[in-house]
Amino acid sequence: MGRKRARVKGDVAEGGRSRVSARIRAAAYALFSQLVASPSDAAFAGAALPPDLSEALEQLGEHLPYPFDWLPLAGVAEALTDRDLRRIVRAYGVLFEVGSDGPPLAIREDLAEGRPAGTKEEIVRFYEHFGYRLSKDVQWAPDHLSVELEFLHFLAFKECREKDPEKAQPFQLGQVDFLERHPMAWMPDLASRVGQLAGEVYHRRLFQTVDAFLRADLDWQKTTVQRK
Amino acid sequence: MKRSTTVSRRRFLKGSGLAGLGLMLRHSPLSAAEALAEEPEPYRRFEDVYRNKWTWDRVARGTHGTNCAGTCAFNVYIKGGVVWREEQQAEYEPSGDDVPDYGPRGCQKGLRHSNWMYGKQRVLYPMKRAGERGEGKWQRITWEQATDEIADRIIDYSLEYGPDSISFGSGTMMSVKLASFSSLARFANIAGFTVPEFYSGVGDLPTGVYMTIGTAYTGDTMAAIYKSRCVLVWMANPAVTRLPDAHFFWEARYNGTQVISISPEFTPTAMHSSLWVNPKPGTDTALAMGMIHTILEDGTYERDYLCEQTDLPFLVRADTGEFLRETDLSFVATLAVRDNVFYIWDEATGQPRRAPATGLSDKPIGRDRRRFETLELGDLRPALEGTWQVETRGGTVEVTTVFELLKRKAAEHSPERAAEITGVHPKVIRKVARTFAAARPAMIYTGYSACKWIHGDLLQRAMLLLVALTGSTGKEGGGLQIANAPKTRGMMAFAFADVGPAFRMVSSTTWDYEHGRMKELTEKVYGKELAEDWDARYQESIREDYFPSYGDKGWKMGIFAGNNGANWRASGNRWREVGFGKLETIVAMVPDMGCTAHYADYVLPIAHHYERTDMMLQSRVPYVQVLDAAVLPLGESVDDWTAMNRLAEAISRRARERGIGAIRDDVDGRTVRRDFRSYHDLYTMDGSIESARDVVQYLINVTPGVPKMSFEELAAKGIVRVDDSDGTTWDGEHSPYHNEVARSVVGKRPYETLTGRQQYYIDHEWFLEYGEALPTHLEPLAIEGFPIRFVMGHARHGIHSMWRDDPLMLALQRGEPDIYLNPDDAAARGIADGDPVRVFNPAGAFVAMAHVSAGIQPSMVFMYHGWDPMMFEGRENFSAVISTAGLIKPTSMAGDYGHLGHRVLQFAPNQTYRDFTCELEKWDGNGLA
Repeated sequence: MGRKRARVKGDVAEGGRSRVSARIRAAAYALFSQLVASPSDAAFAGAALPPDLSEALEQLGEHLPYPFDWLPLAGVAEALTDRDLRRIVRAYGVLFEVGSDGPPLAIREDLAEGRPAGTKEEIVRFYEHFGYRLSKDVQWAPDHLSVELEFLHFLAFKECREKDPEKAQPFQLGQVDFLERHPMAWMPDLASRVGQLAGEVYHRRLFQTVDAFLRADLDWQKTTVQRK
Repeated sequence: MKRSTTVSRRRFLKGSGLAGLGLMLRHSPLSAAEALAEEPEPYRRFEDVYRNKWTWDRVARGTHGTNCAGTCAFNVYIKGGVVWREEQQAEYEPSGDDVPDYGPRGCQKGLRHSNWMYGKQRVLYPMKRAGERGEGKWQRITWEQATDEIADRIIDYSLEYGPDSISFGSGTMMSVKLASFSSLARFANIAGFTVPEFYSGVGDLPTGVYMTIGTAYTGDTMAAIYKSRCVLVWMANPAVTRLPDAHFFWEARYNGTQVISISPEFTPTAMHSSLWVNPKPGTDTALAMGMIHTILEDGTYERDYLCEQTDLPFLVRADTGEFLRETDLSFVATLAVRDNVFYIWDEATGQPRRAPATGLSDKPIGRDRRRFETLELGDLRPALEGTWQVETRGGTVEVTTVFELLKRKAAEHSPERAAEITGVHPKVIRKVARTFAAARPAMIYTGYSACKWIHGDLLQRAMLLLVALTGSTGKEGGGLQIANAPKTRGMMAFAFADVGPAFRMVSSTTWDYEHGRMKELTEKVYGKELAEDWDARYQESIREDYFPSYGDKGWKMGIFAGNNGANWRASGNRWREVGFGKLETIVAMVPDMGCTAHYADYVLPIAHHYERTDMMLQSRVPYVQVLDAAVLPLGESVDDWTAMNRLAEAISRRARERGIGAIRDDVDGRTVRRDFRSYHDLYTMDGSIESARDVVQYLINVTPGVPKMSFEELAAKGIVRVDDSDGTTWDGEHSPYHNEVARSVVGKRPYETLTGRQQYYIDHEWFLEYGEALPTHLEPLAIEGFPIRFVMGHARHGIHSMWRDDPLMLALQRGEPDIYLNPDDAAARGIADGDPVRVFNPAGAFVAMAHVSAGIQPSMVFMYHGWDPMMFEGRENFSAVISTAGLIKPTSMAGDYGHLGHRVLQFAPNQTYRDFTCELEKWDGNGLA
């Protein structure tokens, strides 16, 4: 499609943890939080995808401090027409929001197969611990993937704003633990199932990409944060 | 057209945060400044998040507004807009110092609701069918699109076929939530829909009780059980179905009360009873008649009570079998149509004398013309036994008493004869009868199972006769305890305000009979003779206007609100195929997906118990119970008032946009003007009702027996004791519940029956013809060649289909629908416990797991109900073999006879569920056919 290959190495934070890397990662979480939100629901997102998605993905590919293959999703996004967007809106509903036996796929962690009792409580405890509060209209779904990713964006943002590394560390540790215990505990399976069930290639690529991003981010974080 | 995805890098960086990096929160009200203002909490590992004390934002008062009669007070604990747990409240007071109290109330289902309400079965968004009906393909749509499209269809069908071509089903889930039910009823009334009522539709209407005492509502509080000296728990299983109240039985037993359980299968209630009696399924009336035989033979009946309160002393002509009436004696009386004046034989004067308080006109709606009459006998000394000669206009005729006829009928049901029918030893029958007759007061506690047998009316008449013989009906701790219900004046005041009664209410039984062409099913399963005979009576009843029929314009659209009608119907497979499935438009308004929603064209998301403002009345407990919206409705769900408000608004707007004016609608001979443009104004009472909270306040203000207060006061209290509830019985004029029986027994006012008495003899020509003038045993219907009787009951782990699919509830059972069968029956068929079993008969087949149990009699199977078809192979549940939807007993359609004839929610034919048999085999996994 005439675009250059994604750079596999970030140019702003070569391997190390910095406010810059946190800034980029916060942006990535914000973007992915928006992309996995319900496109029908103004409370979640209000639009199917941002008009500059390909650009955004490219920027992430360039600046994230670890390899991130943004091209497959960007390729699909770039080719989308308005008609495709309407199909994507409908398809999201079919996958995650409506169904005779409930939606075919759970977009909320508490409904995902195999999650232990107390999952939702722990999520809310994380939010409360770090001062992240939900608006009233989404409070019923604190375990929605979009909300979980936004929380990670929130933590990364807070990390980025802390000039004192000591003060930044709780946010770094929070990101590692929350990501590992929650999104990563069910996202791989969700991405796999979306790959099997989604009719729209966009959704298959999106969830593959988010899954890959989360894996890469968790691996990178584990190598860049130290517990005392 | 290709979408433009190319924007400037600067714009993206600004928007995405790669450059300027703003806090981009979509799900949170936090601003960057707020987020940054907070100091980071000490955090080292995930365990730290558990160090903070878990506190609640709010504790709301609530309950589970479903039809379990529990009405249990719960505290609902909320944090961050989520309900996390609930807790039973034990704040009830007893009904007097000498009875146990009502609390704590609750059960495992209620305690599970905070989890289940967030389950995958929740309907969160309006849905529109995107594939074939029942294919399971859906599209999420907006409320605006849903209500606009539904509104257009309502307008179109109303214009072309009339509003009665649209049915509006408000189910049992709605019936106990007063604001919801009233809102739905108001909407249906404004629109003129046909409302197939579910009380008879689910086979719960106690028609035998109504036939006998002129009201279907005879129940007291559960504390009345403690006042009884002997309780027959008959056709009921309270240890399973009345979890919050079952303790009254065991406390009464500890207090010396005999608690005798009568059921074919060994139930959890039988397990705790003083004695378990197990008649063969469907033979209970023979057992009752054997007991009546014993009491009459022993002479242990209450003569004075019978003479005053019942028709047993009334004279009956030997030649016709009809009551002796004034029209038999006087030509003038024939001109005045005084065919409701009856006679007793007065031993004091040796003459037939007019029975007091007879000759009264039928009760008109809203007025009680019997209040000035009395049952007191004064100087009369009615004879119970004997025969006499009476001069009539037609000559001398022999007369005798109903009591004499009863003795003859009972003679046909000696304990020995009853034993042959029931399988219960004659000594046991006599023992139970004598225990019961010696108890003062004596009680029969029953559920709705009798209503589900085609001849269950005869059993209820026999049950009432049993308690009447002991003089216990109308006494504290006595009588037939089956059901009571709130006086409907408050709800109807709201439903009919500004419009007047303007909808059509019809029994679901007759509705299904017509729209499911159920006569064909009866013919196929039970034979042409029965089908033709009963259908002829049905048609005569409609022709003579005993019962209404609104089927002539066809059925185009069905709206099902809180009503899983595709699940609970008898012969559900046929109904779905012939009736429901042929509808042009189906709308389901539900909080959870189920069979009905699965087959619908539109599904609207409705708020669950903790997400709505409402109040409940259930007569078993003397309290009003509040539902104080603990959290916002999930997703885009809304409460019923709001849903109907949106639909009313859409109808009015679309009518204006389309330039559609008013139509004239004929409702039972009355012309009603229906102007679609005004529906919204009417529904909201010109804007004075803005929310469900306003509806509740309206109902508090106008409902009899509900203490007058603001909703906020009620919500703060959670429960409030209703008026006139000091004792255990509903005998006061100011309570919210029916007290007709007490009015007659204590206040001596005539009953609302043709004879003004507890009427055990019905001389309607159909009753005489079918041999049902008196209670008697008639064999239940069976299907030739299919030896296994299929019996069902309410479940412990669900209320109808609600909570039935909850993972924890399933884990407490077998995890899937199971069917109980006797070990010998299982062995004879090579079936082992846990095997899949195919159950079949000419009506259909379904598959369930074998649950082999010695608690089940041979030649019967038992299954707890409520399992949704969605949980079965091929989406076929037990209703596939319940071949009874075409069985409408002629006497249940009788009319033009005093109190007999269609009375909404009082007298209508039940849809029955028991009069069939089946066969079973180990399932080979190859389809159902």
